[in-house]
Amino acid sequence: MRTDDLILSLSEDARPVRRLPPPGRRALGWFALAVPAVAVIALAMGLRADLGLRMAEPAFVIQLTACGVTAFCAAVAGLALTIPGTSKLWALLPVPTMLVWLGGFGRQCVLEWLAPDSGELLSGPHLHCLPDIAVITAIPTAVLLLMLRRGACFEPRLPVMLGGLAAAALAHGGLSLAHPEDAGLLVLIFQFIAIGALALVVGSRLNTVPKLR
Amino acid sequence: MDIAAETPFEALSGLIGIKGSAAVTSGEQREPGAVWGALMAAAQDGDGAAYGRLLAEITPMLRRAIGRRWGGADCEDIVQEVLISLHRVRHTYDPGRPFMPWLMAIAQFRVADAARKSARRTVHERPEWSFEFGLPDVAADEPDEPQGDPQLLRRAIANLPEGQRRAVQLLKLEECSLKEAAAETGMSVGALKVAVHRGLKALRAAMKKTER
Repeated sequence: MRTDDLILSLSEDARPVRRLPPPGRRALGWFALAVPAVAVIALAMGLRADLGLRMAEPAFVIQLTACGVTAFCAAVAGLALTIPGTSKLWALLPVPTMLVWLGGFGRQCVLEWLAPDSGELLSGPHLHCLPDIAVITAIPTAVLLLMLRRGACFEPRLPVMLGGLAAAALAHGGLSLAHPEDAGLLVLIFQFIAIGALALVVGSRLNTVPKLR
Repeated sequence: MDIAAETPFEALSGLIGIKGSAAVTSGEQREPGAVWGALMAAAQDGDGAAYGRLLAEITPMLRRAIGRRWGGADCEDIVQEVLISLHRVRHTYDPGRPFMPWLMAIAQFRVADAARKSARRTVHERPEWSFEFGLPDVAADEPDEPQGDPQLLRRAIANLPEGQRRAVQLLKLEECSLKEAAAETGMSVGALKVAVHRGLKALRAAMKKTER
């Protein structure tokens, strides 16, 4: 096909399109959908008995806040990276709060190492939490992947990884309200495996840009 | 191939040469990127004429920019792929942001994609593997040693000690796996490996002796 003919056919196909809202607004939309979903699932699982006591601990509140902020920032970064011309530096947006969130694990590990009787994290993975993790991560992950797909995923792996991180952070926040054991590490491992596999296998198929016939 | 690395695309502005020559609107001198951004916004609202004008104006610039990086015969194909990609993702353009980085990111992706495809073609479509040169005889091993007399080889195998002879026969002539040969002979896998190694060494020595 000649380029002039292509231009003519494309301009004849110039239907109005719905512009993609800015990533921040889209991430807020995701948050507005995913947070209630995670909260309802956490409530359905049953809130942990010692939630009142834990909410009085600054470390618990900080980690919970870091989960939420990491989820939001990772979602913003992932959605921003689906817009052509966006700098990859956006991927660093969730890193500071993610360090606070992950730092919570480190702190808890050290405390449990010093007092082994109260061990939660060091007693091994709580595999019975796996079904709950799968349920609570499913909705935020699926919704965010669909939102990522609406962008232009030229290089989908990084946005998919950031989407997975956002869903993992949100799911961990929700689970920490329901589970007496800290399943955060297992959530991360679960998401790392699930999203890593998705990014490798499906990630390249998220590419919405067509090939020339 | 990193077109976007030259943001804000000074190189492209240079390539365009006469600033805004193609994108001057009713005597108003504006940056081509700004005019194209406005045309793109109109195109997003369904203005086919604005869209046609935009595509016609950016095509020569894309052709030059891609041609400079690519230089291949299929440069025009890449230009067309950029236009199609632009069409498919036109909803991702934000009229509040500069047009050129958005456009050139699409172009950069398409050039990189073409480079990847070309590299794959280079690996899989070597000219000596084409029909003009005949099909490659991939099944045939290149003989690294001259072919000897088969009678002599048969005799040399027959003269090997029993264990070595069985190992060579099963593993090299009948192409059994080590597991199968071990089950057949009752020897361990390790013993079979040693036997076949010694057997081949002995055969090589025997064949050399007869050649002299």
